[in-house]
Amino acid sequence: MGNKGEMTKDLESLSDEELMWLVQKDKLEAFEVLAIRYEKRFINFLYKFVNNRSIAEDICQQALLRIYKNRKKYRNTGKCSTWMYTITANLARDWLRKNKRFTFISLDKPVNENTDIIDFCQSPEPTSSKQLEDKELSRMVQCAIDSLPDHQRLAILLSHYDNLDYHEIAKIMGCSNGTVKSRIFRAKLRLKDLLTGYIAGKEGEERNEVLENDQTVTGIFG
Amino acid sequence: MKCSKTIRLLQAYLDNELSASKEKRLEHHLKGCSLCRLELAAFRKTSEAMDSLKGIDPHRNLVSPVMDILRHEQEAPSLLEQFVRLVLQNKRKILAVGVNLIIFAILVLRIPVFFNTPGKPDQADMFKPVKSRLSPSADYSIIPLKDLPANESYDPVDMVAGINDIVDGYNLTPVEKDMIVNNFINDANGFIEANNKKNVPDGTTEVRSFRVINTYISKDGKVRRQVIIIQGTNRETPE
Repeated sequence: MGNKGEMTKDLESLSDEELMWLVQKDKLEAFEVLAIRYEKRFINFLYKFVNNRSIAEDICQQALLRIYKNRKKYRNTGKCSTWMYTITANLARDWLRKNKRFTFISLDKPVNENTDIIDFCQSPEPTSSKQLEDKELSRMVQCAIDSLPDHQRLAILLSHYDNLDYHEIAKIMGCSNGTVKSRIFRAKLRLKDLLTGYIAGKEGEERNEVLENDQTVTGIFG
Repeated sequence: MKCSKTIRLLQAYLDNELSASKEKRLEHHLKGCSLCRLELAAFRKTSEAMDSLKGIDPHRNLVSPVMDILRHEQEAPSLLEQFVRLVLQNKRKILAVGVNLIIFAILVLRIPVFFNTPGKPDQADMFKPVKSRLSPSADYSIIPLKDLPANESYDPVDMVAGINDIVDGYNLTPVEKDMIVNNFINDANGFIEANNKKNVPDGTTEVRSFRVINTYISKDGKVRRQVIIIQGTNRETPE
């Protein structure tokens, strides 16, 4: 057992690409390290993309299975993370395309019409008004993200939350850098429009402070 | 610099992606234009608002069920794999026999699906959605789930029998049943729709869809494969 622990420790010090090289040699231990390394990133990306925890978790597991099954198809020409993201993003988009018409149902919990997905995901009850405000804001942001067309949603999530650069996102989405830029721009523009009203309302009192004595601004925020 | 051009540059400005000269011109414009300053503030606030969306931690361990499945598959080729290999080795023979059988079935037995025989009364019954116990008012229904054999007896043959048992209990047409069972066996991806269109006298089309969700859950330390079948009915009006 001691040996095994040591081996895992060794594996953890390897880069993604080195691990992938081992995975291609059918080393399951290496894949486990890689999967644990990416599990949280994928689940967070998927959760924001489909806005449902159970479905995000299911897609995440499918993505991990698919990554392993397609391990021989990985060519060591780019970053391993980009390749893994591509598989995950494709599964997520497939899901979205097929399920636009359906109501989301949690697979783990009984279906309750009043159950708000965001509500039960953010576990502890908020106590202060600040927490309530934060919760409301994140709900608004998630709603705004949900309303984006899926290619814009994918681009903005990958760039804002996963901190991938244009080149990587272009590879994942199979389009040019320019297209990625314009998708992110459009997404930001739309999010800004959707959220401005809410942010402005919340900050009504701080308005003057934020806008630094500007007299002409009430037109937009007011 | 015009306001319309400025707007396109604001996000890049916030991300420090502009060249020095562009940045200078933009800042010059911002000094004089309160509307663009406001836009800039709105972009900045949007980024901050987006940051308020916090990450989540998975509720269940996602990696270890996956590893269990992969380890099991690596240890021994499953019966299904052996079967697939056998099929692939003899695909020409099987194809020839299969095509003949299908032609025979269509022509001689006149399978109703291919000939679209007018609906018998019991076929109308088949389209009645199964009422869900969980949410009877909804437009979908969930076929009750059943845990399939746990990890140690992860045997495709057992599971096919299991899914057949589940599916048999419902008012499904043979085609739908086939689709569900095949989707389950293939497990290509968890979300599969089997569409069945039906014209309703008032000119709309009723589409009955099934979504088979294959999911792995970890319960009492064991991996279980669980299948959920969701049935939905959508009415489409012609364009």
